[in-house]
Parts: sequence; C-alpha cells; structure tokens
Amino acid sequence: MPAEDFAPIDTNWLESAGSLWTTPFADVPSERVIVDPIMLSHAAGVYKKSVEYFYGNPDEAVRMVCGACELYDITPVGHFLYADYWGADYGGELVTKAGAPPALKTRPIKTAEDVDAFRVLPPEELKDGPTFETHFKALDTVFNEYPQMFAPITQLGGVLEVATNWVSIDDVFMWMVTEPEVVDKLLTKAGDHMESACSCTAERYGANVMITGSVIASGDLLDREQIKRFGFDPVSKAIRKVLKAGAGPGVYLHLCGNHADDYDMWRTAPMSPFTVVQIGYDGKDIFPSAKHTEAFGDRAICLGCVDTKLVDRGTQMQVYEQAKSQVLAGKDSPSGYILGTSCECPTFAPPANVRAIVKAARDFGQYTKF
Amino acid sequence: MVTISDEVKTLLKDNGFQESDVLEIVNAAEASGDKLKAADGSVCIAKNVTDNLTSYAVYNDKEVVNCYAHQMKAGEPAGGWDAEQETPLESKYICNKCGETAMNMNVSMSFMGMSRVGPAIVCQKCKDVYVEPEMVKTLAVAESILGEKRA
Repeated sequence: MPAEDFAPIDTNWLESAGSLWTTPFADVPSERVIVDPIMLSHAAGVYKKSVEYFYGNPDEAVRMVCGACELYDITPVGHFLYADYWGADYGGELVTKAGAPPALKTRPIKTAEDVDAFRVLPPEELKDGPTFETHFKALDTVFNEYPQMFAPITQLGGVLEVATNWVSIDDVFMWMVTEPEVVDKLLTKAGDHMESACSCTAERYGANVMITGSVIASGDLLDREQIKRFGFDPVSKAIRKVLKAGAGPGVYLHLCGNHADDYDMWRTAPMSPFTVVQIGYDGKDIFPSAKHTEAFGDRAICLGCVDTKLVDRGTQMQVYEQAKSQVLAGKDSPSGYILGTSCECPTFAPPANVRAIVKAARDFGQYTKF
Repeated sequence: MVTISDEVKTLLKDNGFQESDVLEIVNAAEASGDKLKAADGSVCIAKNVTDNLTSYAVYNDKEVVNCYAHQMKAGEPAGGWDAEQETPLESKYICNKCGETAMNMNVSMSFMGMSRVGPAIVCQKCKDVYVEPEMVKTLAVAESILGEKRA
C-alpha cells in the first residue's frame, strides 16, 4: 500500500491527540489521559493485511499504525518494532513465520567460548546493518509523511533480550547456573550494543527514546537476586552509558511479565526527565496502577496497564472495567500517567476491546490535578 | 593559577560564557574546597548555581579543560535521601570536602515550572549535587523539548 492509498490524517484529531500526548511529558494541561496500547501488527488487521506483510514492509506498516492511531484515538506515534532485533546484524538468520513477527532461526554465538571473541559493532557499522535498514525505513517514513507522529525510538528490550538475540535462551539460562560470569560478560556486551544502537538513532534524528527494561528477567523465570544481577544492574549501567553518549533523552522501562518481587528495585534505575515506566503483572494479576504510581509517581511517567490477555480474549465490558479501575487510580500521578496495555496490542484482539480502553479513558480519565 | 585552554576558549565563545566567569568558578572552588575530584586525580569539577543556570568548570592543575551548563535546577534525590541508597552505584568522583565517593542517583530536576528527575552524582555526606559533563547533552535536549512544549 503506497502512501497515496492512505487517507490523510485529520488535522483536528492530530492536534487534539498531540495535546493529550504532551501532558504526561510536559505537564501542559489537557482534557484527559491518553491511551497507548502499543499499536503494532494489530494495525495490519485494520487494513486487512497479514502480520507477515506488516513486518515485511516497514514503510507500509507505519502508515497502517498511524492510520490505526487515528481510528482508535490513541497516542499519535508511528511505532515499528518486534522482539528479535539485532541478531541478524551479527550473523544470525532472521526468518518470517506465518502470523508472527520475524524470529531468529540461528544465532551468532554458539558456545560460551564464543562470548569472549564476540565483537559489538560500533555505530558506523551497525547503522548500515539489516536491522537499522528496516528500522530506519519505518522511522523515515513517519518522519517524512507523518512528522507530527514521529518519535525516534530504538528497540532494545533489556540486556537479556539483546543477549538472547545473540545466544539461544536455553544456553543463557544454563550458563546463569553453570557459568554466570560468562553471562555477566555477555550482558556487558549487550549494554555496549545498546549504546551503539541508540547512538545511531540519536545521530540520525537528533534525539532518541530507548525502549529497554526487563522482559525475560521477570519473576516468572528468575528470582530477585538473579533479576538484580542479570537484569537491573547491567540495564542500569547500559542506560547510564546511553545517556552519557548523548543518545537519549527518552528512557522507556518496559517491565514485561510478573515483577511482583522486583518492581521496587527499578525505582533507582537511571532516569531522565523523559522516563516512562510500564509494569505488566503483579504475580498473576495486572499490576495495579495505585501501587505503580505510589512507587514511581514521584519520578517517572507511569504507563498503567490493561491485561493483554483480557484485551485479546475478554469481553468488551471486562476490558472497560479494568481500564476504568486503572485510569481512576493512576490519572493524577504527579509525574504523568498513560493508560496502556501490559505488552503489544494483541494482533487479533477484537477492535471493540481496544476501543473499550479508549472509552474508559474518555469516561473516567479526566485530570483533576490541573 | 589555572589558565583556560584554547579549546575551552572556543567553547566559551560558542556558548556565551565569559572567561572571567569560568575562572571565578574555579577560584571559588579552590578557596572553599567545594568541588569534586576524579578518583584518579586527573581533574576537578567546580560549579556555580544561580536561579536559572548551573555552570561547571572541569580543570586540572594547569588549565580549564571543559565547561558546561544546564538550565534545569538539580535538587534532592527522588524519593528522599534514604530511598536512593538501596542500590547505589559509585561514580568516578570523590567529594573533595568530605572525602566520600559521590554516588550516581536520580535527583529532582525543575525547569519552567515543572519537575521531573534526572541523572546526577551526589556526595552521600554533604549531599552536594553535580551533573557530569557527559550527561549535559541529555539535559540540553530535554530542556529544548520542554521549552518547545511549554512555550
């Protein structure tokens, strides 16, 4: 779908959504809380395209995302990303799968001995690699065609996510037990890669938002001590390196999965004035916005979540009720609040459910703090 | 008596600083002892705080090697002094007055009537707050974006 196949974005909507979006970041008053359900391949369904088509055509993908943002009345930002970034730049094989984002079939590091010799690509080499070729195609499309919906992001995940794009996750977990110092080295290299990748984006667009945090390093897989060693500590060092390299100022801490036992640790992660903290689950339950804003409201924008499982499989009313509960608890958080989902908007979620989150924000998300 | 390197003279000109202002920051720090010292002894960082600007000079025994400034006003650690001690990370600087290693912390940053947090290094004893030279670009970009949004 070339650009001319897309209807223009309504400028009145764009102005209104931009105003809602600015509030949590700059304390400029607006009517209500904005919704960011991390719109990605769900947008493909809006245009009756497949997931493979979406990820195989990054320029068209972001046009679909921007169109879906207007359709649903959500954050006016053209996102493009998937989980298995960066493996292909180092020799891994990225393959497409029906109904799913691209995934790595082979990874560049095969043994613990390979870790020492593994060389992190400097920005001047990384920028011409396959990941940035795709990523910049998406971002350039937004920058040129939807400039008011542009945000220069770099998809990283935490250091463990970068590392598991280089080594199979089974090996990383085995080494955590048998050779933890090898994992430490690997994660330091993943942090160096984060600095390199963010520097590429910042160099191209003048600023950068790093999407990082802790996905694999969650309470479902690791205990608190392990999360500190293999998640919090190396991620914190990496964030600081990125900020020192001038490759910020955006920090998006995506604490995916269950963080009941470690969420408090992340309060002291390095933050910039533009830091968003998203926490998925508190055990098996959605992470309550009241607890979230109590812990982080004095220092970061809190992205309160609606359970993606509910968005995917629940009723419209269930989604609406959970979104209502979350937005009422979080909307006046001192450093800003966004209502979202615990991870990417499910590809095949009923549109009525996505819309229910927005409806709850409209019905109950009016600020009282201004 | 330190001098100003040619490189810094150009930097001063580009950023609207006066040479005398920078030397004043250094002289005041030397007189009071209020400064950070790099743990390896290579440089010191001195600062001057006014209502709208915090200016820094980085210098060694002979000359000023860097100077920088930010408009955001750095305050106390987010959540208070105790809360930030949970997972401290040492910086490469020592507080000259206290002899304590300064720690990396998030501190409150106020700008144009709003408050968020930002990265700084803080002496745990006297609680003096500094922004490292490498972090100033992060604050400059944030100031620019906020200035545009809040104008």
